[in-house]
Amino acid sequence: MSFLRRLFSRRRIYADLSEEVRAHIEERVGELVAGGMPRSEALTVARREFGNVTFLEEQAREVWRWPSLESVLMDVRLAARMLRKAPVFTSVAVLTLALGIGANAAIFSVLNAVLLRPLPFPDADRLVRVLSIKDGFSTGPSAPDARDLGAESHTFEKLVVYDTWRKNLSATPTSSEPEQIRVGLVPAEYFEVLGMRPIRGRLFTSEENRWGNHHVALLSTAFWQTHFGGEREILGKTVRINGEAYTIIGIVPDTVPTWMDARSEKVGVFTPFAPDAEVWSESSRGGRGFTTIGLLKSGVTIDQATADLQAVAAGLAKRYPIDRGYGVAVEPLAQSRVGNLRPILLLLMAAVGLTLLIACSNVANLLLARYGVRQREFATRTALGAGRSRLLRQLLTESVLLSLVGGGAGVALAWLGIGILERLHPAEISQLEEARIDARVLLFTFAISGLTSIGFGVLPALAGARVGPADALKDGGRTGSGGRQRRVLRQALVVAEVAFSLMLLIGAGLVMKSLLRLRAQDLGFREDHLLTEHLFLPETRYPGPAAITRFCDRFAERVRATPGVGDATITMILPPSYRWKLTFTVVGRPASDIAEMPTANFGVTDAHYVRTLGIRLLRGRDFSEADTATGARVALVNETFARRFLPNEDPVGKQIDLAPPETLAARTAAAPRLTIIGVIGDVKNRGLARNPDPDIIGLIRQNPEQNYGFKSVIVRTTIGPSAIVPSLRRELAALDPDLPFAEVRTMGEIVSRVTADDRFTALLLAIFAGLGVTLAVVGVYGIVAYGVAQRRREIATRIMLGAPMTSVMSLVAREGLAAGVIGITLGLAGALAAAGVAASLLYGVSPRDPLTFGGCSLVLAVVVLVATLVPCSRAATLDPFETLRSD
Amino acid sequence: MKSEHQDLFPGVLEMMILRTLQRRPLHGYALVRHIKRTSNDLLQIEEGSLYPALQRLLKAKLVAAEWGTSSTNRRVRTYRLTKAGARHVERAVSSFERMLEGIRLVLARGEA
Repeated sequence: MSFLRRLFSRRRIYADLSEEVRAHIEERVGELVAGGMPRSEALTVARREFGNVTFLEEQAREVWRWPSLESVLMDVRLAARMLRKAPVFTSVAVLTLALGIGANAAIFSVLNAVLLRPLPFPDADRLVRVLSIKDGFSTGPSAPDARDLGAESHTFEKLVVYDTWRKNLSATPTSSEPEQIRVGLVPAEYFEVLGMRPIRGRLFTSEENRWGNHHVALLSTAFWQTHFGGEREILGKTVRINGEAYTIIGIVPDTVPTWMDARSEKVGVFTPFAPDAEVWSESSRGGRGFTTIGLLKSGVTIDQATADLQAVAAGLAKRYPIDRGYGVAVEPLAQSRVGNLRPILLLLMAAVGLTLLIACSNVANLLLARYGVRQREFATRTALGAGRSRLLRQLLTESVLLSLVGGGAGVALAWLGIGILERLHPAEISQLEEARIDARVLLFTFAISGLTSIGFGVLPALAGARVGPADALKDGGRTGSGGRQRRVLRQALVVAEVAFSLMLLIGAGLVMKSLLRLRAQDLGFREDHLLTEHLFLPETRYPGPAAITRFCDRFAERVRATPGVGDATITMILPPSYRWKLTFTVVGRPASDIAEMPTANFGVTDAHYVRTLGIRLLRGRDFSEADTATGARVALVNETFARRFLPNEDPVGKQIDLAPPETLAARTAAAPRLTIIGVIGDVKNRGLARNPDPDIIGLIRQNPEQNYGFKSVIVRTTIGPSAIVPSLRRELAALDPDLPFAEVRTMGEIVSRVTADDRFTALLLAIFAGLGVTLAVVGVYGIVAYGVAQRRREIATRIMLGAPMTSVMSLVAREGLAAGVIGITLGLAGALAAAGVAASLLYGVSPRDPLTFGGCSLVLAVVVLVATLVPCSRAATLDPFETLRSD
Repeated sequence: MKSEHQDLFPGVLEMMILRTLQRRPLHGYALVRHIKRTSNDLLQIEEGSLYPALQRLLKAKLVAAEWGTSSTNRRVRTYRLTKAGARHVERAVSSFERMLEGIRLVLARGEA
C-alpha cells in the first residue's frame, strides 16, 4: 500500500522536478534576452550555466530511490574485497560459523526426518496405529479383536492387522547363502491403507489370505534387485521361505520405512496374512501382539477414533471374557517414527543452538577486534562523507556475506556429518537413515545463517560505525585504542561463550554419567565371553515340539563339544530384554477373575541356561538332566517373583498353575502345573534402565506348548567369543545346511544395542561440548592475547620501571580470568535452570548432579586458566626495549 | 563535463542552501543567483547541481516546497526552511565553521 503510494508520489515528484528545471532555464533565458542577447544564443548560455540537464535530473531523481540493486551489488563486491584482504580472519570466521551452522543443519535434518517431514504415504495424516491396553501396558490386538474393531467402528475407512516375522530364506539366484529375513505377513488391505500400488503384478486376493492358499509372495523392489538381480521375467518364479516355495506374484515399491515395525531391517518379502490355520478362530482371540494400522475417515480426529474404538472394545470385553480389562489406544502412525527420540532430539537441538551461540559470540569478537583495526578506514570514509548508516550498511553486508559463506560451508559439513551419522548409526535408530538435506533443511539453514549474521554482526557493527571523521586524526593513525565500550562488549561475549560451553559440558557429562551408570549395573549374569545366535526351525522340516527338541539337543551337544566352548544353552529368552508374558496362579490361591490373575514372564530354556549365563542360584537347585520330558514339570523363579508373589515364605516346593499362552486358551484342557525347585537372582529382562519383571523359567522339553521353532543359542566361550563363530557355523551346517546361521552377536554387542540411544546422545553431546569448549577457549585466548598486544607499550613501560612480573601478569590475566569466573557462574545457573531438558533421558543421575556440575566447572576452569596463561606468558617475555623502540 | 567547475565538499552546497533559505524563502533560480552573488562569484557552482541537493533536503524534510508565482509572474516552486531545517542549520553551521577554520589553519601553515 505505502509502496504504491510511494510509487505514485514519486511520479509527481519527478514531474515537478522536470517542470522546475525547465522554468529555471526559461527564467535565465528571459533575463539574457531582456539584456539584449538573441534568444538562440541565450538558450545556449543558459544551458551551459545549468550543466548537463539529463544527468543532473537523473541525480536528483536518484535521491528518492531505494538503494538500487547496483549499489547493493557494489556493497557486496566491496565486502567481498574486504574479506579477501583478510584471509586469516575470514577463514577463521567462516570455519567457526560453518561448524556452528553445520551442526544445526545436521541435527535439524534428523529432526526433520523424524518429526517434521510427512510420512511417505498419501494419506499420512489419517494413518494410525491401534493398540490393546491392559494395566497401562500396550500390545497389539489379536486378529479376531482387530477384525471386530474394524467391522464395528464408525470412524475408520479401513483397519488392517498384520505382522512381520523373521523367516529363513533359501539361496536365490543372486544370493548363494541361506539367510534370515523379515517377512511381512499382510493382507492386500495393508497396501491399500498405505496407498501403495504394485509396480508389477498384483496384490493378494482374499482367497490367498486363507491358510493353505497362502504360498504367494510380493517382493520389495530392493529385494528384487539384491536377490533376483532385478530379473524382468520375475512373475511366476518362486522364492523358498522356511523350506516352502512361494510364487512371486508382484513387486511393490520400497516405501515402507524400517521404523514402521520398530525393527532394524526393512521388510523384503510380503506373504499373505496367514500366520497359522487358527488365527481367525475364536480360540485365537487372546493371541495378541499383531500390528494393527488403520486409515481414518477424513475429518475424524484421534480422540473421536479412540472414543469410537473404546466403545467397541467395551462391547467385546462383555462378549468375550478373555478381553476383559483390555482397552484400546489409537495413536498417529507418525508417533511410531518419533519413538523415544523426541527428548533426545530436543536436547540435541538445544545443544547445537548453544554451540551456534558460542560460534556467534566468537565471530562477533573477531569482528570487534577487526573493526578496531579498521577504525582508520572508517574514519576516513566518514570524513569523505559516508554517513553512519551508510557505514553500518557496509559492515552488515560484510556480516551477511560471512554468514552466507559460513552457511554454505555449514551445509557441506552437515552433509558430511549426516554421512558419518548414517555410517555409525546404531540399527536401533533406523529413523536416521532417512535424514538428508532437503528443501526444508536448506531453508532452515538459510534462515539461521541470516539470524546468525544479525547475532554476530549488529553489535560489532554498531560499535565499529561509531566513529567521527576526526577520530582518524586524533588517534595519530595507530591502530585504535579499542575503546572502553568495545572492550566491555568483547568481555561480555567471552563470558557468554564460557557460560554456554559449560552448559554443554554439563549436559554431555550428565548423559555420559547416566550411560556409565546403565552399563555399570549388575545384569544378573556374566556378560563377558558370551556369544549368541538365532535359530529358526521351520515347521515343514521340524514338525512339532519333539522334532524341535531333538534338533536342539543334538546341536547343543555338538556346540558344547567344540573346542573353546565352556558351556552352551538353547533358550527362548535372551536377556537383557524379553517379553513372554503369561497369567498364572499360585496353587491354593485362586484368582476370582481372569482379569485379576497375576502375570509374569514365562520363558523356557534347556537345563544349561543358568549355568551358561552365570546366574546366581539363591535357593533350591538348578535344572538337571534328571528333569526329563516326561517327569514332573519344574520351574525356577527369580527374586522379584519370590518377593512379590511369595513374600516371607520359602518358594521352593510351591506350585504354579500356568494359564497357557492366551492363544492356546481353548486348545489345552488343563493348565500345566509347575513345581518351583529354585530361586535365581534377578536378570535384567526389561532393558537396562528398568527393574526386572517377575520371571518363571521352565524347561523346553517339559513345556511343548511353548516350544516354537525360533530359538536363541547362547555360548559361554573360553576364548574370544568371535573366534568361535566359524566352528559353530560348521556345526550347524553339518546338521542342516539349509538353516541360516543368523544374528551372530556377542552379549556385549546386544547390551550395547540396548543403550544405542544413550550412546548416540552422549556421543553427539560430547562432540558439541568439545566444539563449544574449543570455541570458548579460542575466545578467552583471543581477548587476553589481544589485550597483551594492545597494551604492549604499557607493559613494556611497567617492566622498565621495575614492576614485578606477577603484577604485569595479573594485569593482563585479569580479563581472561574474570571472564572465566563470571562465565562459569552464569553457566552453572543456566545449567540448573535448564535441568528439566535432560531429566527424562537420565538414568540414576540427578539432572542437578553436584559431582557433574563441579567436575565440569573444574575442567572448564582449568582450560580457561591455560588459555589465559599462555598469552600472558608472552607479556612476561616481552622485550621492553625492543617494544618501545618499535613503536 | 564537471571538470571545469570546482568540486565542493559534500554537504557544502546543502549548507549554503539552508543558510540562504534561513533569511527568506526563495525559488531555485533565485537561490542559485543569490549564492553566486553573495560568494562574489568565487564559487563556480553548476547551477543544475542545486536540484539534486534540493531533493536531498526535501527528502530529509529540512526544507519544504510549494508552487507559486514569482515577482516576474512565472510559475515557480518556492523553498522554505522547515523547523527541523532551522535547527539543523544552527547546529551544523558552528561545526562547519570550526572545520573550515581547521582547514584554513592547516593550509596556512602549509604555506609558511
